[in-house]
Amino acid sequence: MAGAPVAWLCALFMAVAAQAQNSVRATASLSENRAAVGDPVEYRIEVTGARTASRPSSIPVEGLSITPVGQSSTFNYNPSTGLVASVIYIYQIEATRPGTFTIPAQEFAAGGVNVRTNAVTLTVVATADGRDSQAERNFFAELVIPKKTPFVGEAIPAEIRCYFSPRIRFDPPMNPVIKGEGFTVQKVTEPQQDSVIVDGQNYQVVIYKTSITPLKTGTLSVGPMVGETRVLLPRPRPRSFGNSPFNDPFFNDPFGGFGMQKSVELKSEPVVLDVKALPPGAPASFTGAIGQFTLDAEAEPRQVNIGDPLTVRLTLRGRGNFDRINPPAPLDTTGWRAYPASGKYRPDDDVKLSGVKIFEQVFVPMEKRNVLPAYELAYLDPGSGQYKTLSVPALPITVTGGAVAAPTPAAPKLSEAPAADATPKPVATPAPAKDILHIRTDGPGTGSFVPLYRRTMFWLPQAIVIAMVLGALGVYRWRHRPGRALAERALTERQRRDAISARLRDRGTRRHDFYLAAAEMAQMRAADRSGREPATLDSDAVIAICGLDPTSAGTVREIFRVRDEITFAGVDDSAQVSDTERSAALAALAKLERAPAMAVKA
Amino acid sequence: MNVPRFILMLAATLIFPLAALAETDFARGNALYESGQFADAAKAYERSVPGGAAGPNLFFNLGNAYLRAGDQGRAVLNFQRALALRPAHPEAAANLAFVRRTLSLPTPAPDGWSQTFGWLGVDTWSVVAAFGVWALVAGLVAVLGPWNRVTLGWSLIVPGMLVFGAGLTALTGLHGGARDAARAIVVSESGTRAHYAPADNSRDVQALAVGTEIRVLQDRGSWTYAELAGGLRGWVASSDLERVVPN
Repeated sequence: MAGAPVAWLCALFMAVAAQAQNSVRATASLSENRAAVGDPVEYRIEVTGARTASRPSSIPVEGLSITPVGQSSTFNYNPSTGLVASVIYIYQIEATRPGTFTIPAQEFAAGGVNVRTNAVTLTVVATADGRDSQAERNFFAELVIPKKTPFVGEAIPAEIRCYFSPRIRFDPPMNPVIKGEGFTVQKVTEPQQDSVIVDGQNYQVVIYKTSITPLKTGTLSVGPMVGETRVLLPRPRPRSFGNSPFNDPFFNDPFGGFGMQKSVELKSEPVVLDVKALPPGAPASFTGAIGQFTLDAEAEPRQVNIGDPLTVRLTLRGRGNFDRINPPAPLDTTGWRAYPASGKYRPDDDVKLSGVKIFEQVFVPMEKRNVLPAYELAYLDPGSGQYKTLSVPALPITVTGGAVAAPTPAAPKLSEAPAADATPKPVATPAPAKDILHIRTDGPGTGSFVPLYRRTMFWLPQAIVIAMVLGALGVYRWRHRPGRALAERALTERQRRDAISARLRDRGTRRHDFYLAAAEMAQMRAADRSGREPATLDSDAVIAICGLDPTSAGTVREIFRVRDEITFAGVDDSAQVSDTERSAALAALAKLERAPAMAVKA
Repeated sequence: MNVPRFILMLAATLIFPLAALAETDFARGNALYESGQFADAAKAYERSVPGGAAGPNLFFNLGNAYLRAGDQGRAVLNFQRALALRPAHPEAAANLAFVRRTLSLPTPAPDGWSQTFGWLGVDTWSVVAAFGVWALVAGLVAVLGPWNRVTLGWSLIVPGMLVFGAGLTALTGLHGGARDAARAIVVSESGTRAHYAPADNSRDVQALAVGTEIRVLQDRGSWTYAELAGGLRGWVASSDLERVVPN
C-alpha cells in the first residue's frame, strides 16, 4: 500500500513533462516585411513554454546584417494550460542592398527539447515608398574645393563637411582624411557645427577647414574624404509588436538614450581639379611664392662698427603658400658677410593661408658701407596669372671704425645651413637655419676670462699716475701750508740777527760795518717790542721804546750818529772800532734786549 | 747683451713655440672637423687651449666639434666660453641658440642686477669706475692745487664719486658678468639631479638637463652647492659640471 502514492506522483510528473514537451514551441517574426536599404528592422524569436533557450548567436544571411540586441521573459496564465513561461529574443536587421531575403528557420534547444522556428521573408527596396533616398540619408559627407583650376604649388582653401540628420546623435568625426596623391594638405582645423538645409531636409553640419596645395599639373583627383565616427540611430518601431510597452516612441529616440549605437564611415565624393603649370618667364627672385603679398624691411642697429653684426628683418604679409616661400636673397653683398636667414611664420587664420612671415638675416660689415644690401622677391599673382616683384630698397646705414682683417668664412658644408636653391644667386642665402653655423678658420682669436676690473695691468698704470698726481699735490700743499711763511721769515730774521751779532763781536769788523750792524740791531730789538717796522725807528724812538737809562741812551744816540755820519758824510770806513766803543755799544744793545715791556707802551 | 734684451729673447724662446703649437693644433682641428672626424677635432682644439691660443673662435669651433660628436653639454659650455670672451660673437650666439632650441633649454632669465646694469658690459663698467676715480682726482687737484678752482673742483668731485659708486655697484652686482667664475654648465648626459643634501640618496630638488646653466655657491669635495633655475638651491655632483671660466 505504501508504494501507491509514489506511483501516482511518478505518473503525474511524466504527464506534466510530456505536456511540457508538447507545449514548447518557437516562432520567428519581423517588425516589417518590407523596408528600405539602411532602415533597421526588428527580428524576433519567441519561445513559448520555456524560460531559457540556447538562441542562435549569429544568423548569417547574405545581404543582411543581423545583430542580437536583447531579450525579455514573460509568464502568461491560461485556464486551460495554466502558467506558461515564454522568452523573446530580439535581433536588429539592416539590409545593405535591395532584394528579397529569407531568414531561414532557426533550430535550437529550449526547455530540454529542440525547437525550430519558421522562416521569414524580408523585402528590401532601394527607396522607401518611392521617396528620394538622398532625402532619407541620416548622414553623409562632401569635400568642397571652390577653386577648381589652381596653379601648381598654390595653396587653395578646402572644406570637409559632414552632415547628420537631426534625428540621430553623433560625435564629430575624428581626424578626417583627404585621400589621394599629388597634393599636400594642411592639418584640418577644429570642427565647427552649424545647421543647414539640404534638398529641403534639415541637417546638422560639421565643418573642417584646411588648405590643399597641388604638386603636379594636369587633372588631379582630390579625395575622397574619409572619416569615422559613432552615431546613435533611432530603433525601428515594429508594426506587429504594438502591444509592447517598449513600443513607446521614447524608447526609439536616440536622444532618450535608447537608440542603436553604430560605428559608421563617412566618405565623400572626390573632387577633380585642373592644375595649371606656372607661367613661363619667372623672375630670378621667384622662390615659389604664389598669392598676394607685401614686403617691408627694417634693420637694427643702424649704426655699427666694422665687424659688429646687425640684423635685417623682412616682413612678408599677405595670403598665399607661406610654407613654400624661401627667404629672399640680398642682391649685392659686397663688403658684407651674410649669414643664413631664418624665417618664422605667424598665421592669421586657422588654415594658415594668410599671415605674416618674418625673415631675419644677420650681416657683418667688413668695410665701411652706407647702405645695406637690397632685396627682391617675386611672386605669382594667381588672380592675374602674372609674376610681380616686391622690391626693398637698400636701407641706409652708418658703418664706422677702421678696416679689419676680413675673416674668410668657410663655405658651409651641405649638412650645415644648406642653400635654399642650387641656382646661382648673388649670395648663397640658405633656407631657414636648421643647423649650426660652420667653424671659424680665421684664427683662434684672442681674449681673456679675467674681467677688466680684475686685471692688474688695468689698474696699476692708473694707480701709479694717480699716486704721482696726488703726491705732487701733497708736496704742493706741504710747501704752502699755513704759518710756514712766518716761520721762514722768523728763521731768516734769526739768521740775520745771528749774522749781525757775529759781526758786532768780530774784532776785525770795520768801523763802518760795525755801526751799521749796531744800529740795525738796535732797530730790530726795538721793533720786536713795538711791532713797528725797524727801518722807521730812529735813536730817540728806540730809546723811548726800550726805556734806556741815560748812559745807554747816550751810547745808542752815538751809534746812530756815527752810522749816519759814515753813511752820509763818507768818513773813512777803513778805521777799526776801538774796544771801548765796542764794549759800550754791546752793553747798550744788551740793555735793549733786556728792556722792560712797559717801555714799549711808552 | 743687456739684461732687457736677454729677457725679451728668453720670453720669445719660451712663448713663441707654444703659440705656434697652438696655432698648429687649431689648424689641425679645423682639418679634422672638415673631414668629419669631430671627436678628433675636439681633441686637437682642446690641445691648443693650454697653448695660449684660447680665443673665442677656438671655443666656438670646439663647441661645434663637441656638438657634432654628440656631446651637447660641452658644446653649450664652449659656446658660452666663446661668448664670455667676446659677447658679440654672432656665430657662437646663433649656435648656442640652436642647441638650446634642440635641447628645449630655456634661455636663462636675467636677474635683477643684470636687468639694471647689464646694458653695459663688465669691462665698460670697469672703465666707468676708473673714469669716476679720475674725475675725483681731477676735482681734488682743482680744489687743492695751485689754481684753487673750488667750484670746478666740486663739480668734478661729486659726479666722480657718483660715477665711481655706480661702477662699483654694477661690478659688485654683476659678478663678472659672462666671465663670472661661478657659472657652470651641466655636461653630464646621465640624468644629473640636484639634491637637498650632498648624497645620492637624498631627495631631489630638481632634475637638470644637459646644458643647463647653474651658479656655484660652494664646493665641498665631490659635491657642489649651486643656485638653480627659479631661485632653488641644491647639491650637484661636481663631476657633472664644468665651469664656464676654466680653472
